[in-house]
Amino acid sequence: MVSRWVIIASCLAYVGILFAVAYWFDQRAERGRLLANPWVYALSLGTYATAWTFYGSAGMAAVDGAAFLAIYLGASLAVLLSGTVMGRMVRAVQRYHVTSIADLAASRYGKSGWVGGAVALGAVIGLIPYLALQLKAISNTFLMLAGEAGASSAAAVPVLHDTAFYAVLLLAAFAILFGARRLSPAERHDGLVAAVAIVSVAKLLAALAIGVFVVFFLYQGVADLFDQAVRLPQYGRLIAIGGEGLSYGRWLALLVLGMLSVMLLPSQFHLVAVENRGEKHLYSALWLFPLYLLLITLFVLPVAFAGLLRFPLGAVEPDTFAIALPVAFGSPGPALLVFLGGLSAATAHVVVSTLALSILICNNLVLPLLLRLGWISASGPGHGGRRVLYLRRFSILLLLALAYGYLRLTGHSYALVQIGLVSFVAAAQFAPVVLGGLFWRHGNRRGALAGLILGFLAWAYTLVLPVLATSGWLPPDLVQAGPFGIPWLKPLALFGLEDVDWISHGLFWSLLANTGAYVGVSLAKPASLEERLETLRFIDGLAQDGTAEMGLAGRLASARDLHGLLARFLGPGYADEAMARFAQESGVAHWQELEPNADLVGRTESLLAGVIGAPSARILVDSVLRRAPVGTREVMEIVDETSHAIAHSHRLEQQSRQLEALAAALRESEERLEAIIDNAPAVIFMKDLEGRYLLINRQYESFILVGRENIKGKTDHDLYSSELADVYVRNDRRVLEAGKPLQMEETLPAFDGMRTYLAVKFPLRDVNGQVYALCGIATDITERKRAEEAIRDLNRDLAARGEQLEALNQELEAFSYSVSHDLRAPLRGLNGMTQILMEQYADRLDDTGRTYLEQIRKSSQRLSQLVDALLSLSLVSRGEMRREDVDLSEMVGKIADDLRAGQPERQVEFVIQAGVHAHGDPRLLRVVLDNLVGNAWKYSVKRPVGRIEFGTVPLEDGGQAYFVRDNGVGFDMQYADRLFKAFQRFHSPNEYPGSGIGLATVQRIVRRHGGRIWGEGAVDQGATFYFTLGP
Amino acid sequence: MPKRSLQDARLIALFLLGCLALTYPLLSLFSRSGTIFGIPLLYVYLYGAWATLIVLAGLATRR
Repeated sequence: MVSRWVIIASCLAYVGILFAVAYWFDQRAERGRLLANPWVYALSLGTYATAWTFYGSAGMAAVDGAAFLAIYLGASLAVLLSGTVMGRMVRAVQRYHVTSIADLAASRYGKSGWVGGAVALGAVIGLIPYLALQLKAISNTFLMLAGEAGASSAAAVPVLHDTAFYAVLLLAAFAILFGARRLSPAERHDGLVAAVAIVSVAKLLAALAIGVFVVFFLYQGVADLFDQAVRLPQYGRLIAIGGEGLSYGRWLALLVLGMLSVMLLPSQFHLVAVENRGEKHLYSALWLFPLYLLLITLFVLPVAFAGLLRFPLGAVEPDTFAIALPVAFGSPGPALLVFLGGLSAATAHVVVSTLALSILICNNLVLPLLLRLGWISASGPGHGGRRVLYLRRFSILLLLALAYGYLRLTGHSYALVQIGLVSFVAAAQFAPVVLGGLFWRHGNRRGALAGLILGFLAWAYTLVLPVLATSGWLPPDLVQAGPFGIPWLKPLALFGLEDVDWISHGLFWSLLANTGAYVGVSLAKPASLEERLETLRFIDGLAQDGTAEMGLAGRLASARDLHGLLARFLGPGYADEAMARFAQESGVAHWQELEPNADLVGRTESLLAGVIGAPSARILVDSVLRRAPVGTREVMEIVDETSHAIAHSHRLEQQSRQLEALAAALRESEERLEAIIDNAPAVIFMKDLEGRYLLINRQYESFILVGRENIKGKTDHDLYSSELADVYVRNDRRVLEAGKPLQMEETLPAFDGMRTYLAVKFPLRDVNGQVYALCGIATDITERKRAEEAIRDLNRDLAARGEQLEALNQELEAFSYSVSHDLRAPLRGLNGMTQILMEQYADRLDDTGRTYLEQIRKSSQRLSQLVDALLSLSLVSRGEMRREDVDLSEMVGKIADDLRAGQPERQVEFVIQAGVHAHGDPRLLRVVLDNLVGNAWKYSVKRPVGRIEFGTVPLEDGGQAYFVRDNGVGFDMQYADRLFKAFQRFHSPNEYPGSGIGLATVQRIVRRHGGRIWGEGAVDQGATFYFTLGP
Repeated sequence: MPKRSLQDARLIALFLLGCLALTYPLLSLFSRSGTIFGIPLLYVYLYGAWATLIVLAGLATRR
């Protein structure tokens, strides 16, 4: 086969290349250029595919069929939760400088050394077998490749001749050089990650190469291989799940194990969270990593089938099919390639795992212990950091030694697969504490401890005990019959749970005990106030955009002491830098001036935690805290914080109560408004800006016969004919454009025909003054409208009738004018003839004749007077009216003079108000005053001293009336309405001569001026005539 | 971070879909004899589902 020395030389060459790569990247990182690449990150996660995947999967496939896939499918599913679960882990690392999974648990549960220690212890114990498995894979395949497989009982070989021993040395060197060369505050190892990524590529290529070799060189393709595999007796079992194949229970258990281990194996946590260079890398990894797993497992089944076909049952361990096949077919090239691939897989895992475990041992097991014992202290000589570094290197060696020891003692009794799964179940024990801790606020320290302890006890009892018994370290009876022969305590069938395979059984009981205790104790025993506050802060800090507030009330230390601590564990340069940063953020020039404050303490502690873990950092920082006497102040501050929280929640409660009251008031007012709107006789509606109805009132509802629940979103075009709707929409738009209420008449069709509405429409505005809707209130004015119409008709009738009357009147006037005019000529003739008769023939007539003639003359004169009066009356109505300013006082004065001149014998006293003016036709007004003053003169004839007054009186309506008063015979008021009728006389013409037409003329003139006339008087008490003139 | 939270919601949905596709009732539909291109049906289904999940995850995280 391949010579020992060729193999060793290839190994050394390969590992040498890795060293070189790692070294180069480390140097590069020291120069400040960090390796931040999503592909490198995703490939480094490929460490999940260990030697166990590389060799063990084929072994698992040969026995269990598809079972091996469940692990990788589970892992692929779990990384889909990157954003939620893993994102929180990454943030925990970034914000709290968490260095390992144990540290995460410790940080979360009040920086508890106990929880961190329990996780660390569990991780070491649980994962030693998994490390041993890697060593076993290296040594087994080495021997096989060298053709010395027969001598496989490694226990018999002396240590110095054991290949596994040399593998241990090589791996230890690698792990120490790149994981523990120096202390870095963030535990980032660029060289290591780069090497691991390259290793991932190498093993993927090797796995694909052996797959191609087997499928296409040993067989004629996939179809050929499976065709031949059909004749295998176990074929049916291997290609099924359920039925004769593996049970669904085991499938599910492996799926869950895959999901949990990809996050919770310390090595995986280290690569996923601690070595993460940016949360966004998680999002590329979540499809790259599953793709990697898919490719690397692609040929597992063909290799397993080929091995089963090639080798008789039991001749070759199925775990080694991958290397046994090329060896058996005499192809040393592919065999060596596979060996290097397996070596890659094992190396990567061992190195990362020992690094992660050493951090976890140092920071969470040993350092807290040493600090408590006082072997390392906050002060004192020496560089504390150097001791930590030695401690870490030592623990790497210790871990590898333990793994090697485990391998030599028990390693050969179980297949790789089974060992690996036991470790996976151990890692799964961290699930309740870590995942619960990331999301569940009520999980506390006591619960975490209880869960871890019970979970690991159950794990040891159901999974480790049987291994030890099988290896001969414990009596086999213990497993077969149960301790003390109690059957329901049998480790493989606890409480009688049989029919389940070993791993599923152990996973179920351990997780049940673990979760049960964690949840139960957490809920039964609430944490202290202080721990709860820290928990709240921790979880809040993990929210995507949350900010971590570091300080815890009451923890104060001087800046000098804190600087001292940092210098001691991180080096003076780093300490200066960090303190300067704090000082700058607090706005202080030098860190020496920093006041002691809780935030400073919290941040220093967090920095320290990045190197030595949370519990150790807590112990160290506690040692320099100002020893305030039993912290009245601290207690006060804590109480203060709590009372703040209480006050805050109280305020919230109050606010919510106020809001409720407000909401109730709002509801009430809304109901009130609705009631008003609904019961209003008017049509009320609301539309949005696009004209869609928002609400309508009951009146509108009844009127358009559409329910309000159906009206929402409808427009006028849905309800009315398009001509009507167009009108409404136009009106609405007008209102919205005007931005103010407008009033308009709209007609709406109703069941009894069109009805008219007077609508007021107005825009509704929100609090910012933006118009958001239109409201309309429309009142039915159909009846009013009809009444108006009727009145208008009536007026039209009246006007027509008035016109007829007017025409008739004019005709009559024309008639009376022409009659009087035509009568004058014959009357003049009659008068003239009578005059002649009287003058020339009087002596020829006897007395009787003369009397008759006299009668004729008088009658004809009277008739003449009447005709003249009639003529002047009709003249008054005819002809143009010329209005101008007229001095009435002067006019009355002239009339008085004329009258006195006519009858100088009479004693009449005139009282004329001076300066009475009027706006009217002077000719007509003269007629008026002639008549009125003339009447007054005439009817006061019987008084020894007559008295005639002219003047004005104010009227109630603000205008004025002219009056003419006398102290004559007066008249009876009951005949007042007959005063102004033509030819109506109260006295005989003999007593008071006159035509009986004067006042009718006066009234007509006054009316033509737009005024009115009325008289007041009493018999023998005189009379007063008032008149007004229109404007 | 509304974009990020939408992405996370998609991924959680994808996770649940994957859990459903890879467990009992659905899985049993493909756990029967028969081959596609000479490969047993169960394996074709498992790898097919796996590849689909990867593609969907890739699409969900793009942009």
